[in-house]
Formats: sequence, C-alpha cells, structure tokens
Amino acid sequence: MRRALIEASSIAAFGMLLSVSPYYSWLFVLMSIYALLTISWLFMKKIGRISIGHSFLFGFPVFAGSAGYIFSTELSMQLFLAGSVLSFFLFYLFSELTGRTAFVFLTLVFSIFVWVASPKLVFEKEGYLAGGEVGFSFPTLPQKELHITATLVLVLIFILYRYVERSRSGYFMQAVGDDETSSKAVGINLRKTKALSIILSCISAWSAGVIYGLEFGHISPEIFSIEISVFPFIASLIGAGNPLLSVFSSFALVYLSKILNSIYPGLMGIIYSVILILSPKIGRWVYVKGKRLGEKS
Amino acid sequence: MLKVKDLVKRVDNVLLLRNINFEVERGEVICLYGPNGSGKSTLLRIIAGLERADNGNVFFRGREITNTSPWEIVETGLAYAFQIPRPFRSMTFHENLAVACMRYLEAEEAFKRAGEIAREFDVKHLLYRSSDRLSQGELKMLEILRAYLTGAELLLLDEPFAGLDVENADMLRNKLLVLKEKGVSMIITSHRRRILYGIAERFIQLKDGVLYAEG
Repeated sequence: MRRALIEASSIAAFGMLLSVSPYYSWLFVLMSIYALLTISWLFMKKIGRISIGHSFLFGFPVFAGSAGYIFSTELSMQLFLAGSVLSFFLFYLFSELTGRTAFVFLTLVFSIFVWVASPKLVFEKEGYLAGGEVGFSFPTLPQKELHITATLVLVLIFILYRYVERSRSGYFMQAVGDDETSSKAVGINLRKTKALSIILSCISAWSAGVIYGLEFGHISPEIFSIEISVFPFIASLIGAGNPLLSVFSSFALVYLSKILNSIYPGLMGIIYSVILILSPKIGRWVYVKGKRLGEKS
Repeated sequence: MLKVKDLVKRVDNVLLLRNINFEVERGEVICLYGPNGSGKSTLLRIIAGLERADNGNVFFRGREITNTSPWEIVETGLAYAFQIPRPFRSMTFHENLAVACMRYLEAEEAFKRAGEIAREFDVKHLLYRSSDRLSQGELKMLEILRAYLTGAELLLLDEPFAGLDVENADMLRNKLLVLKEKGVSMIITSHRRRILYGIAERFIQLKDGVLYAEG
C-alpha cells in the first residue's frame, strides 16, 4: 500500500507541475482521461481479456447522456446510467460467450459498428437538429476545477488498481487470466471474478468519459474512434503492463500525438499502426524482460 | 464420504464410462488403475465437476454434487490435480499455493499458510521461483499441494507419477504418504499399481470404461 501511495503521489505531483499554464492544465486533463482509459483496460486484461473496443465502454454512457442533455438534465442522467449498465452488461456477456481470441475481434468489430452507426442518431428539438456527425453538447467545468477533479479521480483509481492487485480478488483475477480451467479447479468462481474485473474496468472508463465530456463540452461520434480503442493497448504495451509505467506512457503518447499531429495530421495513426503490427514481437520481448525483472530469486 | 452411483459418460455415441459404482471412506486411499483410454481421467474430471456426466450420480458427504460447478465442489472439500500440471504461469510457486488458500483466507494469511505448507513438505527453496522455471517433478508437487491447500479432504490425483523419473517418483510417493498420515482421502489414477503399494488400501481396475475388479 505504501508503494501505491508513493506512485500515486508521483502522478499527483506531475499534475501539479502541469497546472502552471492553462494550456498545460488542459493537456494534463486530456492525459488523465487517456490514463484512466489505460487503467480501465488493465483491469480487464487481468482476467486475460484484451479489449480493442474500449472506446465503447469509455464513450457510450457519456454519448447517451449528452443525447439526453438536449431535452433535460434528468434525462441526461438517466441515459448515462442506462448506457453505463448496458456497456457493462455487453462486455460481461462478450467475456462469457467468447474465448480470449474471439473477445479481441468481437470488441473491435463492435466498437467499429458503434463508431459507424452513431452519426445516424439525429434528434430534433424546437426546429433545431442535434447529433449526426456533429454530436451533442455537454456541460463543462471551469479549467481549474476540472484539473483538480481529473487529478483526484486518476489518483484514486490508480490506488484502487494497486489495492485490488494485491488483494484476494486481484489474485483471483490474475489466476483467471493465466488459466481458467486451473482457476476452476482451485475453487475460484469464474463468473464473479470476471464480473468484478469488468465492473472495475467500467468504473475507470466511465469516469474518463465524463471528464472527457466536461473538458470538451461536446460529444461527437469520434469518441468511438478506432484510435481511442487501440490507445490503451499501445500505452500498456509501452508501459510493459506495469500500471505506473502505463499511466506515464499514456501521458507521453498524448503529448506526442499533440506535437506530431501539428506537424502532419494522421502521423500518430501511422505510428499506432506500426506498433500494432509489431505488437506480437514487442509483447514477447516485454514479457521476457518483465519476467526477468519480476523474478525474486 | 464419496459415493459414485451408476455413472455413465458418452462422447459421440461411444460409451466412455459404463455404470460406474464405487465408494470411498474417510481417510481411505484408492488406486484407480488401467490402460490408456480406459476412462480414469474422465471419471476423476466428472467427480471434480470439470466434465458433465450423462447419467448417474455423485454424492460427497451425503450431498449430491453431480454436474455441479467446480468451484462449488471445491467448497465441499474435494479437489482435483491435473495430470499435466497447469500452474498459474505469471505467478511464483508461493503465489500459486497462496491463491489456493485464498478461498477461505485473506491474502496475507494465505501467503503465511502457503509458506508453512512449503516448509512442511520440504519445498521452501522453490517458494520464490517463477512457475515456468520448475522441473516436471516440482510442477507435480505444486499441483498436488495446490489442490491440498484448497482445504480438500478428498484429493483426486490424476496420474501424479506420469512422466517422472524414479528419483522424483520416490520423492512424490513420500509426500503422498505425508498427506495420508494427515488423514487426507485420495483417489489416485496410475498405469502402474506397484508404485502405490503401501499407500493405497484398495485397487480398482478400470478397463474400456467398465469397473472390472475391486480389491
């Protein structure tokens, strides 16, 4: 727990460092959103499920909430909750119905489907049209408050991840991720363990989605983009699966994408593609290195 | 303690197990022997809930456990050890053992208990070794200790001596004797009966899915 607190302090200190100017403060909130998405992905990875459709968990509740916001705040809240429950239920169902490989493809295909289908959602209110490619508006928070909120949420979710990792449930998740049949043989309730891992993953992704909405004040179908879906996979690959390194690699990737996209739009997409193509090789290398580093004797 | 009644298992219309009936008393060790493909492993996997029976019943401590989920069966005090060891690959020997106790202990206590058992069974030196750096004999030991640490009173050991050299087989035999002295009941499958002389009290032969001899 002491280690978790020290690591969380380093994240908070980095956040404070970036509060010096409005631009960097804005950038840190963006970094926090993506770091939360990465932690969410890591929670699901614990049970051996690699999601390439995390943009759905991240974007769907807040997208539904913003659609309801056109009509009333109450409807927005209700749709956000309904979207949250639905996103959890669907990912849980996917994990129950599919094996590891099929899960990767199913989440990818599903998130692409939602990305393509979401611009078709158009509402009319008092003669105005909302939705489509443009999306929906969402309330915002002043930058300072948002910066503090994002830092707090990220630090708390990070501590939660570290706590769960060393708890009974965390070991059960790791066991399920290693070998489901063996887990059953030592008395682990697979359904309960999977459900817990996915709900924790959802909580992290939903928080990231809400902060995203509050930061931009606007939710478009681009929230379901493939770039957002593959981001946590790439960040955790660079971070060698270590949560702190993955958080900081998320920060670095966000910063890098801002710089590279200002030089040549789409360059970051090319880099992501190259990393994805090389990922089996990088993954093996990271696994071997990680094993050597983790060996205690 | 365990009662298997008229158990039948079919795969693609082929009868793998035909009306199997037997009982195991508390503290008893049974050797289930027979050639490859006779249905020994299938029988153990059905009792452990890892495969479904087509007909018949399994009772453990008077409670029917036929086709119950494996984790519920482990809760009743019955555990299975695989023929080909299946350790949790990302974990050390110590973590593998501790996970098995976590069903009834908190993480910290589970690690303590796992450490104690490792000392008792003379495998303390393996505690911090990653499970993918263990020899076949060490993996078999891990598999059996992990099943025991679930709190099992009846262990189903599937071919624990398969693939072991004489030295490792002797070592494992001694550890099974320790478990027997602790009062743990066991059903052990094996091709070779001789290795279980002095451990098993009863020998049951299974051939072509039929229980041929008991004695």
